[in-house]
Parts: sequence; structure tokens; C-alpha cells
Amino acid sequence: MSDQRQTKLYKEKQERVAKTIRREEVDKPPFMLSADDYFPYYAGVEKSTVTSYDMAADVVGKVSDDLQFDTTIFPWLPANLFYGPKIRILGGGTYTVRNFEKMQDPEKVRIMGPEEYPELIKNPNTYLLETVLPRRFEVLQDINPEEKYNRIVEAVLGEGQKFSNYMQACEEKGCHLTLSGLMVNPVDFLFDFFREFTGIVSDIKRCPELVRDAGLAISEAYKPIIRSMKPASDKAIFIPMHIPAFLSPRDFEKTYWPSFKGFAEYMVEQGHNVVYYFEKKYGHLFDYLQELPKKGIIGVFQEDDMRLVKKKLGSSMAVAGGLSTTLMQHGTKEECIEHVKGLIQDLCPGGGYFITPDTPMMYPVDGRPENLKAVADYIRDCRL
Amino acid sequence: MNEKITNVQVIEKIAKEVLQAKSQEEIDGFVSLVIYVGMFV
Repeated sequence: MSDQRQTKLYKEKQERVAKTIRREEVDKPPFMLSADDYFPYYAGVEKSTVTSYDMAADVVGKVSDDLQFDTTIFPWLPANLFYGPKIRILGGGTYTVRNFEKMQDPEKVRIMGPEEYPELIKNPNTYLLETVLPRRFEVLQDINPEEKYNRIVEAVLGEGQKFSNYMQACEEKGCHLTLSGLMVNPVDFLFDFFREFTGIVSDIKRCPELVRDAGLAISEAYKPIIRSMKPASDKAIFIPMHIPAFLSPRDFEKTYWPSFKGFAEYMVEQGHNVVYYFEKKYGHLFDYLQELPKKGIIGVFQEDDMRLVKKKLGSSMAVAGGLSTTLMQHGTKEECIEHVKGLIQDLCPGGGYFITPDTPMMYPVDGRPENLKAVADYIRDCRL
Repeated sequence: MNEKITNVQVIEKIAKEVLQAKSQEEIDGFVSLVIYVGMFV
């Protein structure tokens, strides 16, 4: 494809994404691919042969060129490039990278006890950096300050810059990325990095006020990061949602909701869009989600009925999901296209809907390449 | 006796020297960035 044509298509994608986030109608159905490790599989590339971000960007560019999706939240994150070096430089992490796959180890997550919440609430940054995180990262332990300085510069700034350059290279190859930043909601931060599942569930039952207050304190500590980020109409801060799917509305309201809502309002006030990835089912929490800011929010839904999602939440947020990966794996091309036609007919009128796989495509079983190609071609040529 | 240099102080020094941060707002932003994004592994 010529550079001129690629630039034109990229600009069209940008506009389509920005309009869909604003819940305006667009010229064609907006397609948000969520693929990650499926990128190299689709491109026919063995992950172990990809040893640099330049090579990874070539893989992403090739898939983007072939499928012409409008956006993907983030590009393929090769575990050996994204996680491996940081874990080595920092001297620890919650993930283990083996055979080019990453896996989070619950044993490495639970490094904080429930009795520590009051200290965390008093000053989260100082308490985490001086007391809790040194239990995980060798670089924060009692080592030579000069070595500490150099290793933090290399891990955070050096590796961060490499990833930013990679994102830019993907976009220069015509692959529009939605991602402007990656955060997790404050209570999920506690769950994902300090208390793990059994710990946070126990805390929510035994000391809900402390979980709520820790979430609010972390939310305050997040704000300078948000202020340092530049908003854009076609970009969004990506927030995967983890623990709420397992909480009753009562526990959610007491513990998770105060910092979730406050932080959402703050990001939107600062001009950002936010894309929440609602993993598993969220029907029991729709009443709360209706209270999120009425602009700048995109909800990607995994297991909820998208027609119900659009009916209940479509006047508060742009919504995404619905493309059955099960059908893309087990159905025929014709069945997949019929399925997409139904999504377009029912969900595109009025705007504010991205066609998105109902689960992030990670493995070969998440869809046969020929079915994904048939779906992508149909969406590319469809006009609304 | 030398006072122990804290992790916060090391990260603030990086903000000033490498990122040329001038205001406390920029320095605080970098400290938060290290904790909540940079060590996201």
C-alpha cells in the first residue's frame, strides 16, 4: 500500500474512532480488534523468532494492513520484550516469563497484609516505595544508591521509551491504537499487585472501610500521572476491570465504587477518554455504570448480552463487544458474516458501538484466521 | 553517620536530573508513575 493511501486510511480511522467514542454515527461499522498474542499467529510468525520491537511492529503492521480494522486497544505485547527486561532490571515482579508466555504467580502478588492498610492510607506513595514494594523488587532494597538510580532509570525510562517507540512504529504502519495510557482502578491495583484474590475478598468482608479508604488514597496518588498525560479525541486510558465481576452490588458500592467513580470523573474532567474492559459479567452493576460520566467512556463487554448493554448503557457510554470468538473458531465464514450483519443491524444505529471480539484473541482457538478475515473484509466494505 | 537515602529520594533525584523536572507537581507525578505504571510487572 502506498504511504499516501495508508495516511489517508489512518486519518479516516482516527475520525471514525473519535466519533464513535462521542456516540456519533459514522460512515461504516467501527471495528476494534482485541488480539494481543493472536497477531503473530495470524501473521504466521513464530513468537520465538521475534527478538526486537522493530520485528514486532512489522508483525502488527502486516496484520493491520491485511484486516484493516479501525483500531486495537493495544498492539501485541511480546512477553519476552515487554515483561522480561523489566523483571530482570528491577529484580522481581509478579509475572514469570517462560517460553515467550507470561504468567502471573499468586505467590508473588500477596506481599502486603491487611494490618498494613492504615499506613498505606496515610501516605500510599511512601509506604509502598519504602516498605511494601522492596519485598518484591531487589532494586528497592538496601543496595548501592547509584546502582538503584541507574536501574530505575533503565527499567522505567529506558524500557518505557522503547515501548513508546514501538507504539509509534505500529501507528506509522497504519495500525491505529486506542491506548493513551494503562492504569488499573485503585481497588484492582490492591487486588492485582498486593493482596491477590483470596486476600482482597477477605478484606472486603472483614474491613470494607479500609479497602474503600485505601482505594481513595491511591486514587489521589494517581492524579499527578493523569495531569501529566496529553488527552486526544481518538485515544483513551485503558483500564481492565477485574474484581467487580465477583462482588455483590452491596460490597461493590461499599468498597470499589467510591474510588472507581471519583477516578473516572477526574480523568474525564482532565479531558481524557477512558476505555474500561469489563471482564466477565457486569449486568448486576449496570445501575452503577449508568452513573459514570456521560462523555468520554467506552465500555468493552465480554460476557454480557450486547443488545442489553446498548439498551441499558448506550446513552451513557460508547460500548464494544459482541463478536463471538466461539463462532469464529467453530462456525463457517457464512455463519460468521450473518452474525456480524446482525450486530451491525441491531447495534450500529445511533452510533456509539464498536464491533469487538467478545474475548481478547490470544490463542489459535480464539478464531480461525479465514473467519476473522471474512468478518474484517465484510466490515471494511459495509456502509451504514 | 550517613543518613540512609530513601527510595523516594532516589526517584525524586531522577525526576530532577534526568527529566529536568522543575516543579513539585512534576516530581510527584514521576514518583507516582514509577509506582503505579513503571513497576507494573
